[in-house]
Amino acid sequence: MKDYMLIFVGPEYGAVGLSPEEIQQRMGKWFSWIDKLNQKGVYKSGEALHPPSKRITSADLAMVDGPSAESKELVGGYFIVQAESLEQAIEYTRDFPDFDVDGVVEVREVAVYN
Amino acid sequence: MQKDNQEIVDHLFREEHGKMVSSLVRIYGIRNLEPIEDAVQETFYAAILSWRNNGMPDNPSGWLRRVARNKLIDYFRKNGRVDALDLESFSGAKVAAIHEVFSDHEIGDNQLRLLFAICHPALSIQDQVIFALKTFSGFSRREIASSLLKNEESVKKSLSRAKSRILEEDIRFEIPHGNQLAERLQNVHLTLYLLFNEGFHSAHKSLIIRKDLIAEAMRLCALLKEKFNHFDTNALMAMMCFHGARIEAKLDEQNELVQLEYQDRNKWNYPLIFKGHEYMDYAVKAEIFSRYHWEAAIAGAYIMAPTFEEIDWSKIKLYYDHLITLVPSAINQLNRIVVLSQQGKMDEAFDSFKVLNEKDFGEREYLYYAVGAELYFRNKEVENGSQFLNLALEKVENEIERKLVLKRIDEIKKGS
Repeated sequence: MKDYMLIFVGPEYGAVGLSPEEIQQRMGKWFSWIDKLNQKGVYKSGEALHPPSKRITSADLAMVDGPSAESKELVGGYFIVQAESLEQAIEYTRDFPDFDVDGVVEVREVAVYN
Repeated sequence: MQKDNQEIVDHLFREEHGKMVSSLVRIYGIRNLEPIEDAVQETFYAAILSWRNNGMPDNPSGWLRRVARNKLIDYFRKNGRVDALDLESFSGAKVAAIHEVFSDHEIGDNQLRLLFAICHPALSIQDQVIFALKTFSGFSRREIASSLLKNEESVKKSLSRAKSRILEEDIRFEIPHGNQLAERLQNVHLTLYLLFNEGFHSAHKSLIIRKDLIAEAMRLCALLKEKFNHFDTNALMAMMCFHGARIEAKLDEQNELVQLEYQDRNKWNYPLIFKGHEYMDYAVKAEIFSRYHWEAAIAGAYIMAPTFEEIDWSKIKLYYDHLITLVPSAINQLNRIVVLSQQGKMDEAFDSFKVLNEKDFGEREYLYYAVGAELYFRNKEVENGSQFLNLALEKVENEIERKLVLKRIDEIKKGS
């Protein structure tokens, strides 16, 4: 089994404008997705990231703003999951809850050199 | 590995929205409604991000309230709005006060304070309904527009109108006393009644949205009953139970409206009907009956009959007579006419029908023609009936009701 990072890219929920009821329903979808991955025993960890995003461009800490919360380019979080292959890791994203709000998942294999 | 997520309580976020907003308004004043609503909204976004990775906290409500309060304090600090926090802004006394307003028994009172503020006579009744959906249930503008079959722009206007009225009129965040209470209570009843009707009578195509509106109206009405146990509140609650019990049977699998006569009674919610009877038993102890008493009595009489054929029309007609003395609306008159025709009193039905004006029905004008058509058909005046049915088709505004009219036209064609 190899580790893969599922990187969630898309606008922030606040920019989409969801109501409490819609947020709760969405959360239910996240829960059932994670439960499903847990049942398969492939979910390792995950974190969410806050929106203000800065890109540091030199050693004197010069920086530019990263994608805004409204943009569809903002990285909002990631999971680390285990899979036999890239294809299997991609298969996991079927239940990703945010496709309908312009969210996308980037799937990357975690590199291991030995 | 994270722990398995237990099921989150249905509508927890929606209910917490109303609870948190009203409690925070209690601390920071209704003038700060906007930042309060923003803070509460952001809290839900934070919840989804945190909980999805860390699992649900042991006490989700406590987590939400703590985060919302902190977000709001942050907002006031960042914006230099210490005034909003009063002089002893971050002192122990204030913090203790915050804990107090978030205690369970205070929350119910705070929600009622907000409900009474929203139902202030300075706001139009339509704005009250929209405002209640926004502040209590956290409906988004899009959801309100879609539930009430309005456009989003008019919902937006309605909300900002309501907010500026609150500031202009300096509307107090409190439950009025004495005579004022009785008056305001009537407003609150009417708002909840309209909210409920939007769910029950509007032929909205989404059953989910309709059920949501009904559930919200019933939740707020239950809260009101808990506090005051007014006879009229009980009557309103009974009416909601009797109608609400039939919602599943009102639409079939094809999303088509099913008339009472053909509804599958196995789909009725009998526990809710029993509940309705309990409320009604108490409500009828009132010395003076309100419109809700009569409307509940009518709804109750329909469902108490074991079959459609056994409905006691004379009793229902009597209830409508009483209702019309209180609320002589065109729609009530029309409903009474339907009852008269069920009783076979066609002359009386026609006499009453002829004094009605189709323009009094607003966007429900098609109903006038649909009922008129049925009167003519019953009287074997097929030509007049067909003409009215065509007019009904012309005036009908929503899809589900249009289907019903078309179906009837089809039946008439086959019959002749």
